[in-house]
Amino acid sequence: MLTYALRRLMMLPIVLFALSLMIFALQMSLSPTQRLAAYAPSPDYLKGGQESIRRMIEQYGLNDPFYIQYGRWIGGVLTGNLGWSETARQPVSTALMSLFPATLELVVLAFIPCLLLAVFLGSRAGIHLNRWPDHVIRIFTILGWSFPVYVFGLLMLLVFYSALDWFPPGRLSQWAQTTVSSGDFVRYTGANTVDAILNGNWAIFLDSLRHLAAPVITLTYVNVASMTRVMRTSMLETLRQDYVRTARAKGLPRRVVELKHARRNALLPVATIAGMELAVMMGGVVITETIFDYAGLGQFAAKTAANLDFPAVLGFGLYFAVVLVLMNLIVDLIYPLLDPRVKTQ
Amino acid sequence: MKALRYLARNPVSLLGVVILLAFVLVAIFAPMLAPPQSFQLSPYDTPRAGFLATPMPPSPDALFGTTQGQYDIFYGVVWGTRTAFKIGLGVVAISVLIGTVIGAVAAYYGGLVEEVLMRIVDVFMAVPFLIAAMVLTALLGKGIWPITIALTTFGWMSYARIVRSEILRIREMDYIHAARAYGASDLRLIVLHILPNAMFPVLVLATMATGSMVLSASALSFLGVGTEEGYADWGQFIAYSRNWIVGQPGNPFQFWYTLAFPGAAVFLFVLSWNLVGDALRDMLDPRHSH
Amino acid sequence: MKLTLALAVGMGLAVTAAPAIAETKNPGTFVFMWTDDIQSFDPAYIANTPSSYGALNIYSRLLNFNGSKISEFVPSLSTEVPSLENGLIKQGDDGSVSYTFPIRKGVFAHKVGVKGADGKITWEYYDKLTDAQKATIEPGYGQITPDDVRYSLLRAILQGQSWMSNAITEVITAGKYTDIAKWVETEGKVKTFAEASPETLRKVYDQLSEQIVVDGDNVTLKLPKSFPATLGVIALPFGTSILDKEWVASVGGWDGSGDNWKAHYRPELGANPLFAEENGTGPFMLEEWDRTDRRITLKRFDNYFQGPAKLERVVMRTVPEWTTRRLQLLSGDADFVAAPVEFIDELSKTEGVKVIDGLQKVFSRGIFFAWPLDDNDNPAIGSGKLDGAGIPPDFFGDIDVRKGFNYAQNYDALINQVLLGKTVQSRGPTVRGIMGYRAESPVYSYDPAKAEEHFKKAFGGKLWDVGFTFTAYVTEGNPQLTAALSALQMGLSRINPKFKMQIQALPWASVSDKLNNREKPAAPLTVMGWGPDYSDPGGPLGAASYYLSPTGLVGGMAGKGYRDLMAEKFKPLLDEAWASNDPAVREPIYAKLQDMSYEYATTQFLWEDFGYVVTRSNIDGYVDNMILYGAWDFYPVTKANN
Repeated sequence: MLTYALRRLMMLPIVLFALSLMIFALQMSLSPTQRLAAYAPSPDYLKGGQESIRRMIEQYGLNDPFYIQYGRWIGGVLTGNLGWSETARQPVSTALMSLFPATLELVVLAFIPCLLLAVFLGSRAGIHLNRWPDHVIRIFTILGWSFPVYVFGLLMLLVFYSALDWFPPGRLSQWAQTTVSSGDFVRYTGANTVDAILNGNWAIFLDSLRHLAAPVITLTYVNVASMTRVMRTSMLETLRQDYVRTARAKGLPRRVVELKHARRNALLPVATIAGMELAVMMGGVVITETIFDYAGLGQFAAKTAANLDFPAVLGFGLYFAVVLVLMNLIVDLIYPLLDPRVKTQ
Repeated sequence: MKALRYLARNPVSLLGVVILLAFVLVAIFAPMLAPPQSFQLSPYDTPRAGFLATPMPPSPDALFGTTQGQYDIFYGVVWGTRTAFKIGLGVVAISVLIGTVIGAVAAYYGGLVEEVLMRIVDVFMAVPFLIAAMVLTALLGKGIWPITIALTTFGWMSYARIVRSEILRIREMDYIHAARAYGASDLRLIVLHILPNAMFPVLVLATMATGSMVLSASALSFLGVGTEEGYADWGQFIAYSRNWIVGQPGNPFQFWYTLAFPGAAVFLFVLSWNLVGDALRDMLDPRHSH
Repeated sequence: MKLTLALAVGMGLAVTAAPAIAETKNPGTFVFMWTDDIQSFDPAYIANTPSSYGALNIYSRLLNFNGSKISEFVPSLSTEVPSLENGLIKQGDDGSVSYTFPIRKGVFAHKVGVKGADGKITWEYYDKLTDAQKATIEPGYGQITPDDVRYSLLRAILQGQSWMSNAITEVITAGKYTDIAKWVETEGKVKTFAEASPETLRKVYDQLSEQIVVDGDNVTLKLPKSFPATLGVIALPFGTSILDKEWVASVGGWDGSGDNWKAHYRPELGANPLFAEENGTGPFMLEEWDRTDRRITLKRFDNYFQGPAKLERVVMRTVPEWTTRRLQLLSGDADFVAAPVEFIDELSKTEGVKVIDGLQKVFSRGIFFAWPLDDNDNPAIGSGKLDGAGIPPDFFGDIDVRKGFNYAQNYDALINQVLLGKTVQSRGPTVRGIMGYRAESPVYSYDPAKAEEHFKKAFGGKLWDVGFTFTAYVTEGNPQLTAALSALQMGLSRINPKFKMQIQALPWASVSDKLNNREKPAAPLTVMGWGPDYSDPGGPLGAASYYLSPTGLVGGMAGKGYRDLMAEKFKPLLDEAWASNDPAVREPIYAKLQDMSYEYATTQFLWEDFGYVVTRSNIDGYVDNMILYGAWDFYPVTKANN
């Protein structure tokens, strides 16, 4: 298991290289004028007329052949420079690094309840197969799944912001922002909750939780569906396994069997899916971030894609690939801990 | 027969089949349910009753009301059924085909070929989906064809993985060993014995995915890379409701119809495919019979 | 389950609860939520309206617009507005014109250079200095001098990046050169700017600096020929914003030397030292630009030379989702929001919200016909022949086709439904408020009979028999522009079912690709709009030139056929009007051009855009200037406490 995981890790540079070539090829399939749109994202920028358009294409080297442009980029990457993002108005690496804590904070806070809920609901549904708890849970999760996220997001805003004024959008209130921006508040990590604790500022801690609550609830509900499904199916499988039947036959109480033995074994496929799901969420929860005005990686990625801002797109692609591989590695590593049958050698 | 008996015992699964059949009927009889007008360039262009942005509630002229831009919701929902089937079945069919071929080849040849193919799978897994979709829109324009390409590019990898691991698993089973002992060639084994058995989980997964493709397409519509403006597509109609989900203060559900009808269509579609998928799994997998 | 319960309870509350009347949140701070952002804080670099919000509030210029008037100016860093009467505009016998600006004394920037005991100069906030420290300010360091004015204009010209700065080059050369690179290429007889020798660069610099002269407390611009729109360019919040030379040099910018300016030509956005740093003389200072959070915080400059602003802070946030912005406005967390037009009537009836509406804009929308079209592998024109399955490349070269199209558009429906009746039909390139506009000039209206008549004449009657198929493009995410094409599509197919115009929405990158940087345009017609950048209809940035000059913006995109038509019929009149300084001579010519744009059906003019502003009701003082495209000058804005 471990060697397999390490081998995958060693393949990472090759995957990254292939990925960058592929995205670059996608980019180069656009014409120079199309690629200029990253620097001139609206007609306003081109009011200088055709002559100035040609000068801009020259300025950014958009007419150069593939290998020169790719060489320029890869040369930068090898010296640790991922290039400049016109969309973010900052270097790609700076943008990724400053957005990462925000997204991590949101995703982790949403992922934990999501996982617990999925395990709970999934095993419940599996135990009560084809009876009303199963039906209710299935409908509940499919409901969460079949509407686009923004439907729930907007309803959450309506209820918890507009009507109750509990959970406002954004990351911080204006007063808290003023404090955070002032020199007195040290930004250790960029994740507001953590920084507030480290600074011992509880007012800001609560304020940032208030802002996180609504997107967290939304993300939990929307993502719980697929994990619950996997948990339910896996629970069904396990309950039919011989050893579970044996345990029941030996006279162990039903609840003990279901919860102690079956659920534990049923967790394995959930771990895989959960790892993937977490990785995908780390790649950005675009719509949630947009609705709740939460500046994170997802909004950034969507905006760079819309603007065809390729340095940022490439940087984001590399980041995402690394997250995926790491997440697979983590899942591989915790697998033996979950599965009594797989022994660490 | 077995299927009918199963359905008789499982009313929920039966419900799934009934809803799905209803959608099939709506798709087939779309031209009668919502007849296109003579000047429409394509029946998928939803007719609009003017250009006002603010939606209008249901009326005899527009049974489900009109959404943003005065597009007729009833028409959009009816013809959107065809779009849903096109995208769902199209994407899943192509993805399954690509996935099966790659997964089978990887499992059959093993070694370097398998290594290379599975790394290609890794690369595609890591392609940021959004970006791929947006670049495709820049290249090809909007529409269900670019959507299909984008969703397929992102969707075939899981099938490849499943087919590969299923083949590896089945290959080690007793009956395959027996067949090999009788001198059956590997290719013959794969095509005739292993692949059909490996396809069960793929079929179940594909059934479930068919419903959810409509969801992915609607997320694309939200991001502005979905179908053409006014194209009869549920995802697009839900995206039109975006600004109207929250109504005016004091009347927050004023525009409920903009979301409710296309939303219900998507919900029922996804639900029915899921129920059918569950039923299929129970029926196809002998281990699951009660 | 609990969630469902909470949702149900909450929705119940949402239905019953009346919106709470919020007390004033964030007193003294104006929270501004829009969907745009600022490209750079370097006034010479920026080229679009949203970016001008930074330069407008942080820097000062020689002149300002007089409130909302687009052709009247008031003094700013210049103590007087040059005119022929006060002798500050002088006309030479050789046709040259000079503009003299007396520079205000004692104006300090946000940061000034203070000389320490060790003789080193450090840059300190002027607001924080004690009187004793003010005495140690190094002369010229953060103090605006005539030399700084000259430096700022030279820098904008020589940086050559933005078309807005290049407009100053056109002023100074009276239209001879469109940008500094062109000047260098011509002077050095080289193909590209990069090949120019150091001597050429020096020579161009010397020629240029002879035209911008410091004389005591005055700065004089010497133009070889008249350029009637000069003051209009000087007052725009772009490259003519005034910088402090010593400060720019201290942060690594150009030091004003004629030998090294090439190193500062077209800088990379992020490598430009003025990208995120400023030292202006305007009413606000840049306190924080958090690009990650897309938030800009401006802080009041207490020592602004016209007196401090009323607002203490302005926070500009980019919030893309409309419902999110709207709910923040309703709860008082936002003081201004950018809003879609369909919501303004509802918002104007909402308590605590104020809508200023029906503001005029100089911006008109049109559908541009292009011919001849690219016939090489172009999906837009179908078969490329007049056979019903496509259009020939010179389709729109036939005036009857253009007229048929113009009679097939339902202008009234668009204006009443898409624009809620809040604006008027566009009468041509010249809109209300610009010289040459006449309210009685002819316009097209929806008239199927006339359209049929013209379509039957087109292509010897063949068009009517076989019909056509082609694709029109629109930039995605523009429901209004899409509606314009949709209305045209409906009109055409009802006139003759064989007339098939498909509509395709594409990302801006692809629309741009079909129009720009190519021999022949690929888009048969494009719906877009251009607005002028000063009130004069002529000259390089004027409304009439943008549309009707063969070298104008529309000409650049609409193909050689269009340009030839412009060169033959329109250019002589444009030149004639621009050559004169007498409005009585010029006005009838521009009015005639407006009529001719109707007569030749050059473009399908749709509507004049209009502006509106949605704020909390305790916000006052917004001044709309249409040549600034409604940009927010935060200086006069107030936020009252409830």
